[in-house]
Amino acid sequence: MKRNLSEYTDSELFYMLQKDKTIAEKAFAELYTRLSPRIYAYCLRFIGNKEEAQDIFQEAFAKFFESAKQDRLMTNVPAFLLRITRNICINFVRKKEALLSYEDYMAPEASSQDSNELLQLIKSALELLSEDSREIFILREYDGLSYKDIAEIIDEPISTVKIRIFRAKQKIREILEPYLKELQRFN
Amino acid sequence: MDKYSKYSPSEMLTLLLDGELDGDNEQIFYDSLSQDAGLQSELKDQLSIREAVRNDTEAFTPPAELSRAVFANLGFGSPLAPAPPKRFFKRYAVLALLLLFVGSYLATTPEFIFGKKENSNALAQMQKDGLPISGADESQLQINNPSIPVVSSLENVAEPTAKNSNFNSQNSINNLGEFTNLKKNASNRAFAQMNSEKSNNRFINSNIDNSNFDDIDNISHNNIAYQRLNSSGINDDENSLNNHNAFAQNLELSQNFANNQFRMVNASEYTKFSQSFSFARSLGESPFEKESALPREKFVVLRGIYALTRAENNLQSGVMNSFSVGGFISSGLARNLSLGFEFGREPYSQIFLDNSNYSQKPEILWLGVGARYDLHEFNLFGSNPFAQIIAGGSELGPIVRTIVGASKIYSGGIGFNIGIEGSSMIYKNQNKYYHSDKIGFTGGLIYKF
Repeated sequence: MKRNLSEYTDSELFYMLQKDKTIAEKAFAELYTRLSPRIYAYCLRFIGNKEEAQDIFQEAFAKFFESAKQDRLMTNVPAFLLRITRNICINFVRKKEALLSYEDYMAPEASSQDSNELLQLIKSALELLSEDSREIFILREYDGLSYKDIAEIIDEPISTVKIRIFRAKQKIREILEPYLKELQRFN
Repeated sequence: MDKYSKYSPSEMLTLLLDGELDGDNEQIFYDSLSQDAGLQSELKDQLSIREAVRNDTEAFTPPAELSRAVFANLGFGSPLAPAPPKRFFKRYAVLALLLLFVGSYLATTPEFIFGKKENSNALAQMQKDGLPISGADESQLQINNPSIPVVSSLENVAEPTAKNSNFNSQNSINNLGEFTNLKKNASNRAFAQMNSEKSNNRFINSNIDNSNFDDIDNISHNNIAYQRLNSSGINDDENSLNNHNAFAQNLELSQNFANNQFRMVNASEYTKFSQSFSFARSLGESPFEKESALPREKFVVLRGIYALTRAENNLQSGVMNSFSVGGFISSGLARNLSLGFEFGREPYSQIFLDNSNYSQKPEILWLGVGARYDLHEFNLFGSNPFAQIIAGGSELGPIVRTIVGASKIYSGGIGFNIGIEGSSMIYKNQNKYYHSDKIGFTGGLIYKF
């Protein structure tokens, strides 16, 4: 008999979400602990605005829990949750683009907490990337997903994923090149 | 080199860093890397970018308020340690507990500050019974005999002269005749009261040598004889002189007794010792009852813990958010040793090397068995030191806890515990073993029954 929830797989915990409230709550807490950093990173870096990212984050977990109530076989829970989050993010961006100008939307949010200069530049560079490139960079670098998982989430072949990741990284490096050269010179 | 691969060197670099490059292309890539300075520079850039992303802690840390909102939205409780409802109270709980402990002690033992007049009961009874006590005598009794309880009974009083004869045989002889009359004519109310007093007052100090005990008895008997002679209305000069001689002798003995620097107290069942005993003296010569006379104790303990934790994260969300309950029983194996168990719940910080795959347990349940040693022979402001060790298991691994502190028990069996507690828990995470340690203050209630 397993002693605590940390020993269960994501799929087993997902199945437990269909049980009574006490078990479901514990299973959800464990899944939340495991997955929330990735989901939050995706929301925050993809949307760029903290308040909006938090709204999406909350909505994503609510939909995730509702989806779990349906009897379905789940083999890749992180990818499933990321797909839910991605859909909410994309819908949000579509609606917002219709209301705001591109400059308004892409205006970088000032953050006093960032002490790492390169990180601050990366966040700015992310906002200059296309939506596809930004998303795939986040899925790969922030969420650490394999090419296969990313292909599953964005519903594209792996060959396309490879090309997009390569282009996104090249673009980021291109934007940061002046700073990176300085960095190498002092190192 | 790359003419043998369908990927460019930059593409191979990206695939390699992402763990997607196959073995054949990997060799081709390393060949290119050794010759291409631009590729080496690109590798450094990509590694710098990756390192910066790894350090983006803001992105990987959902705010606690957001987590609570997510759970509340689903009708669940908070996944985090509950926020203390009254932060002010929690912040000062340790101080409040300490003050409560000290205050309770002082409130129940005023003699610690003001000095106690244990003999006032006897004096009051003498006045109540209408026994004539001169102002000078009263003053002398209060000053010179401040802490000598009346230890007398009808049986003891039956032969007062035998003891008095030790120091004043003439007094004893003179008193004897009148004393016989007293047994017939005088009221026995004072004796009955004295008898009751004796049952409530006990001499516990074994350091008092026999002569001291004899002196005490003599003082008591002479006091009683003096009282009775006065109350019987016998006022002839001889008796009066003899009785006053006896009383003067009492005062002298009282002074001798006071010189021994012992104070007798109305000892409860749990504090059967002199409160002014020095530590060295109490350690050297036990003033207490024999082991066989000690009650076999059972007690339960409810404690709160406030501690700092190591490793680096302190999950203690407030003061005294960790509690434990335990039960002990005297072992019978050795004096002062009790065996029992404790269980509780408290946070332990844990180390995670891989932020993408971890689970944190803010509150951990633990259970253990162990021993507690209460040093009854040692008294610190009315409380007894104790040491305790508990070994057992927790949700994550084995745990050991030790406490050094003091406890004070009141006559009802309820009391307080305070002390310093250290604990260490071993746990396994991501296939590595770690230990999480805590040290801090503990305090709580103890109930003996």
